[in-house]
Amino acid sequence: MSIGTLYTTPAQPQGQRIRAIAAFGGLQIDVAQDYVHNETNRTDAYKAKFASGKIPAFEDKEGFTLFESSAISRYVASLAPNSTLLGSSAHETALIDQWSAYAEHEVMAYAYVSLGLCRGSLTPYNKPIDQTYRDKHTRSIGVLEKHLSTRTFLVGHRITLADITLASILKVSFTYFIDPQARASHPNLVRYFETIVNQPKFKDIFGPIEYAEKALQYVPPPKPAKEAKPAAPPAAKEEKPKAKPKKEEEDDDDEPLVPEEPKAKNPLDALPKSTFNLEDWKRAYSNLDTRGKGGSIEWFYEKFDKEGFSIWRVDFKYNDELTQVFMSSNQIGGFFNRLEASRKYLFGSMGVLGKANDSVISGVFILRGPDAQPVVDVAPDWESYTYKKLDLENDADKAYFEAALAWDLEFDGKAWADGKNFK
Amino acid sequence: MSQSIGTLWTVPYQLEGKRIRALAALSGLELDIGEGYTHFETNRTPEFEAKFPSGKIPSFEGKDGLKLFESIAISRYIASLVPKAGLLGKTPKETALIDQWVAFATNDIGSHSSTVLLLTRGYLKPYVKALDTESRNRLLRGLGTIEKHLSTRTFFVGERITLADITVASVLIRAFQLIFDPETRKSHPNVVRFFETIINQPKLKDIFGEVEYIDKQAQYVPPKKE
Repeated sequence: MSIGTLYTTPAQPQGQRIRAIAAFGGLQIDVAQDYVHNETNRTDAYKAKFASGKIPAFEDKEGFTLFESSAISRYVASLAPNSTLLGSSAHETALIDQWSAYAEHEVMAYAYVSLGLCRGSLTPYNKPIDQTYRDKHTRSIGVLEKHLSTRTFLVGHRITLADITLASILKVSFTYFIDPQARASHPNLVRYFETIVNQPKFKDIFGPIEYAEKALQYVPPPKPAKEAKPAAPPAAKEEKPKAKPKKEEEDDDDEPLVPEEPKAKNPLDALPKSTFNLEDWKRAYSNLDTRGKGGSIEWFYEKFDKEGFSIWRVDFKYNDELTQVFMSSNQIGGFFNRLEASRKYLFGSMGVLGKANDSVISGVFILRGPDAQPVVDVAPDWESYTYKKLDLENDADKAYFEAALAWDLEFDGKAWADGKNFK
Repeated sequence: MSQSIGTLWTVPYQLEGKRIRALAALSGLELDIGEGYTHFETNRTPEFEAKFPSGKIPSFEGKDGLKLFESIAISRYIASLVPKAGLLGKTPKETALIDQWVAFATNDIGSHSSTVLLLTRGYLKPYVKALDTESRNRLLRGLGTIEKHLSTRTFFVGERITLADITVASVLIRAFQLIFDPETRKSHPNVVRFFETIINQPKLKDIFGEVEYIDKQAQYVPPKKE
């Protein structure tokens, strides 16, 4: 019996938090399947139910409606029978409220300012302000490290609402701001985080964790393309929206929606029309065998337009850091998640070649336009990979391209072990 | 013999401190204010940080040994001590709605007015007009939401004063100091009516004090060059 419906998006950390709380408490909560972010929540019907016009939002079977993730979290936790989520004494409850509030106001709030600045979704980038908030975030992480140096959980000896709240927030911190050096100097925080997010009851809700290889950096918009193509993107390139892969992470009850924000034009849409349809290619790749007669590679060579699109070899730069194959595979998945904003312009086939502690990440991208950067720099970690343009007239490039598509690529004695597609 | 429930560490102008003191007053509870506290000094001592790891105020030390920081947690705890004062509502759903408006006040009004304050007073440097403007816009959006909610209500949840009303009123003090110029007051009549109702409650008048209405919105004044 479901307790009600949650309006959220799959990637929203606050939504994951509430779903994890429900799961831990043995409660079933439905996620609204027809919710479309920035559309549904702008309707009068939605705002009549949820005055803030934001997500997450919750509605039970009797029409009781609630917004604000901390309120929904606490309410859902209170519905769980025999649950220890809210503590077993007034003091414990107060401490749970304390750490939950700390996580929201002293960790998440600061991370979201830096995230918003780097992505251009708050205001144009300003480095000193970004740094001020990163310093505040760092200070808070230090407070938590110290508190957790003698504790397994934030309050008492069991998982509470505070732990699930903090873990959902730390996921953002670890994905974007806590780099390998900071992880090394905050071992208790890392240990704590791993303990919480890997709890069997809600592990799948949080999903694989993509630890930051380096702290998120602001990347200024690229300079206009070098080629003197007649219809090359105009100077409107500066208006290109910066890195909006996971906007859901920001459009929560902390970051109000900006309904009047004018949609900045993407210069990739200004390229001359191409005869090659990327969506058709994705369908062909999915539905046909890759190699052989009637396969998708054959389809590709018939339809490909090398004026409108380009093909790239993509290699991870730090292969000596790779350990388990499944973790490297998760890394590709994370990279693909962060490329989401370029879905219309990109197809990828990447894999892990080799074996544990002796592997590389490599693959191919098919992307719109003559340059890789405008398509891939929506992902903050795009610079962790090298991009080499491939020439299908060149036999070696062609063989490489086909093997990456077919998932049978092999080089330097390393065979394809696991792959992922961006489509 | 003092019936005080404990000591609150704050400074007189801190709005969150006023909020907590108001809740104690409405519950008929006595609360001591920590003496000898100097901000940026006392809270940086090892003794203070040992009790309150966040190193921030408000912080609360109960007579029974409970040590608490984060104004939302302290507020909720104090509000829970005398159930018949009704500050946390009469049903679990009312409580949830109170939590909702407390969070909304903090995230959608308080955080933006804080940013405007920090920028215009030069505490957050450098002054970035775009961030000031964006924060004011978001603040106004938040105010619009509560204006609408209050257009048909005296109190935020239910028919009597709750933690939600005290929290919103305390957060609004800053908005009134920075943003509520004559035009904004005119376009948010229900917020003004609500605010005046709460801060003029007999038990709360002295705690919230006088709030002067501004003639124009706070502006950043660059420091004079030598």
